[in-house]
Amino acid sequence: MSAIDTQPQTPVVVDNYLNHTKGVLSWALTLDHKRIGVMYTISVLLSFFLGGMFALLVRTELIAPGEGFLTQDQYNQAFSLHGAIMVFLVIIPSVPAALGNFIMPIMLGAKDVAFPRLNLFSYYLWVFGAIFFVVAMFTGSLDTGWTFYTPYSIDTDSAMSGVIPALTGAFILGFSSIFTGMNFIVTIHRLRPPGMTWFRMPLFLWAIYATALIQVLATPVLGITLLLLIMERAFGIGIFNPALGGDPVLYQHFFWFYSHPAVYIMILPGMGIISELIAVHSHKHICGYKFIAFSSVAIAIFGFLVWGHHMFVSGQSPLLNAIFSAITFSVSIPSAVKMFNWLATLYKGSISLNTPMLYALSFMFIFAIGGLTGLHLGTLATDVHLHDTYFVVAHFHYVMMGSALIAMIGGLHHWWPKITGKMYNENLGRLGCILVFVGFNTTFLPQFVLGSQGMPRRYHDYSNFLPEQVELYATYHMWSSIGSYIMAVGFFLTAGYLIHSLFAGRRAPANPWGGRSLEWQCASPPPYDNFAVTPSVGDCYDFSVLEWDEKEQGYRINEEARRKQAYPGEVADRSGAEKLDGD
Amino acid sequence: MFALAALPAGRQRNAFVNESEQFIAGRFAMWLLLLSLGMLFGASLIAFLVIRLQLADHWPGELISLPRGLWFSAIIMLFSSATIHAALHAARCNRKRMLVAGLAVTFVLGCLFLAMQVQCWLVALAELRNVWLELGNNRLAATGFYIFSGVHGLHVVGGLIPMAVVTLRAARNQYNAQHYGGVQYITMYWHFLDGVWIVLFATLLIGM
Ligand code: HEM
Ligand SMILES: [Cu+2]
Repeated sequence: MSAIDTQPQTPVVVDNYLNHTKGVLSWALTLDHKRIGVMYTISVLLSFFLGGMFALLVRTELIAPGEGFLTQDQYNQAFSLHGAIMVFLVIIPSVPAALGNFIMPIMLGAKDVAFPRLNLFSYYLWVFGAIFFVVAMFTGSLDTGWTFYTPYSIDTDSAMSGVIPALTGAFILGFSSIFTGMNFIVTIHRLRPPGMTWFRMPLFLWAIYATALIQVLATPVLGITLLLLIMERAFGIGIFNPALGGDPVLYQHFFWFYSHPAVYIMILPGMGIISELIAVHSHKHICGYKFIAFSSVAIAIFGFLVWGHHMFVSGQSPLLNAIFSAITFSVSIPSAVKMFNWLATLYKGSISLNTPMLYALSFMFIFAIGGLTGLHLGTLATDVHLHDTYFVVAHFHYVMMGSALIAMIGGLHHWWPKITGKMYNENLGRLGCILVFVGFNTTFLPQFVLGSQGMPRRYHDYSNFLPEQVELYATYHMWSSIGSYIMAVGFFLTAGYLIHSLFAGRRAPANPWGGRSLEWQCASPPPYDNFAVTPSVGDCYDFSVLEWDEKEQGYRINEEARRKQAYPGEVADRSGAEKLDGD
Repeated sequence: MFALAALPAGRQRNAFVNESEQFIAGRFAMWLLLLSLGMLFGASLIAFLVIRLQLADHWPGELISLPRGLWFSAIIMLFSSATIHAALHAARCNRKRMLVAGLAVTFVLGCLFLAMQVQCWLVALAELRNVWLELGNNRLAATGFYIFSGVHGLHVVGGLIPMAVVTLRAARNQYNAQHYGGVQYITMYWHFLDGVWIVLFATLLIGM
């Protein structure tokens, strides 16, 4: 390992986390955050496939008015499973648990997260929760929607055996999320390398940190709510069931007390990814670092105060309605702060229009629409009209799928060379992104119109409305379904070239894009212990010190330039860092 | 989190520079866990109170009485907090026998507490049979006690398992004044459970 010291650029390390040990057990029992991250990524993508199949069923049913190929009951189950899988199994763990696990400790120059065992345990909790969802799929009759509203979820006629397994699954997944959050908070507090103050952290870490706070504080409330609901259904305890003295609106309060903050569990890490992508791929220092960092925390805090905007028509008091409506507007401010800072970062940057950047631009376009339509919903008067229509469906797909998930896919491309050590086909990547972008907007833009024209959500058939309505709805629904097929093609293409790159991709250099944060200073794929020598921490958005290395086909840090730009007191060489290798 | 103790202990992957850093991190994580569980119990308390207030006009308080045994179990719980604190103190002062004794006694008290709770469940159940039909749609009057003691009891079980592990490790002499992370964490958790039960019990006493 001593040879490393003489070479400033990252050495070619033969030993890496992928080939360090072999065999199924060496993966299944691994404590390595990178392998756990990879296992999460694969699991989440498989769930995404499953949830996507249900989405295609739903869209195909709606392509034309009239009784389609699904019965009403099957339709209800298809959208419920779609929603529950996408929310609990895909978006919530996608960025923090999957990409965050892989990237965060490396960004910190650390060897692992604070509690590697707890990390593995969280993963198995995820698997365990996922199994319950699969059970719910086969026992059937999860037809409550992903929100499990009472009284649907306690009504024994309409909701049979699938409800309790699904609730149990979500309960377990909640604990997986809490433990991951705990782990990440402690990691970021205690394992930052010397020299990396809070305000020198990559913005991705700020986002992960803010997310983890929500995970730890909000998820337990969901946990107890689901537990009470299970007991209500199984024993009739009289908390949520009005026939037994309970209050169904109480359930909604509890559910949204978690689930509104949870939408920030979904979007904040995505925003963190976008901050990285925009800065790195426009090779320009991020604008308004502190604004972006603080806006993440502000979103996490405000996010706890607005849950009632999901309940404007639930009969809660007009005063509460007005208060929730007013506070809702305040949440959009920090989101807008981020948007403007990203735009300012792009301005006069030297933008590479590669796949990650295309995803980042897609995010900005889509999130602008998703966020702004949230304001229509947050406005009391308009929401009464729009609530439970396709307008809401379109809104949350713009923010959850079009923003959070697109950010995750963008991040996957950005860090793909780091994770796998292989480069994917750039042109196919661009094509995939464009297909997804076009398909996405074709699917969901019409739904805003549908909703504002009164098409309710969760309807299996729309042929019983007035004739002119049916005609209008049919056109928009058809376009929406066509869009979903385009999107599917885009995703299959993406899966195809990514898998292909594993076998035939060009070997990835340590730093293919010209990133400055620490993960780009270790080999691709990273060695088992991440860094042989703890790397120096500099301004992670100062790209002026990078130069292109023709031989490596990647960037490297120009040591002389780095010394000139170094922070006062920046640790230039980390003698004594060897102590960190305890193994 | 506690099931982790079951993973092969020999395999280590440690990102900390030294043990004291790791100790600080562990304690911090335990605070976060307690904060999180605090939200959980807080929410169940609020759920109970909301429904209780909604039913205020026709609350059948006279039909239901809390089992007397609950006073006894509350005292056990309080006492076990003292014994585990003694254990922690012993660990810090390197008094090994005292440590093992403190942990073992706490463990036994924990089991006793659970047994007492179960006994109360049965007593309440017997009483419930007689009044079930008269309760009407005031189910919570009967089930509130079960919800609170059930959710709390699950957490007690979740504490006894790692407590057994810590006790065994202490018996095998694996802790000393410099190295007592396990004792510290389980003590924090146990105090928390104690406090929670006092609050829940008080709520039941007042609310019923
Ligand atoms: C930019 C600020 C945002 C505002 C002002 C906002 C506002 C709202 C409002 C008022 C509703 C309730 C509509 C109704 O049911 O009548 C709603 C629904 C929803 N929003 Fe947002 N939102 C914002 C961002 C987000 C984000 C970032 C996400 C997710 C990543 C999200 C996910 C959802 C979901 C899932 C629903 C529907 C839940 C359901 O009923 O199934 N929102 N939004
Ligand atoms: Cu919301």
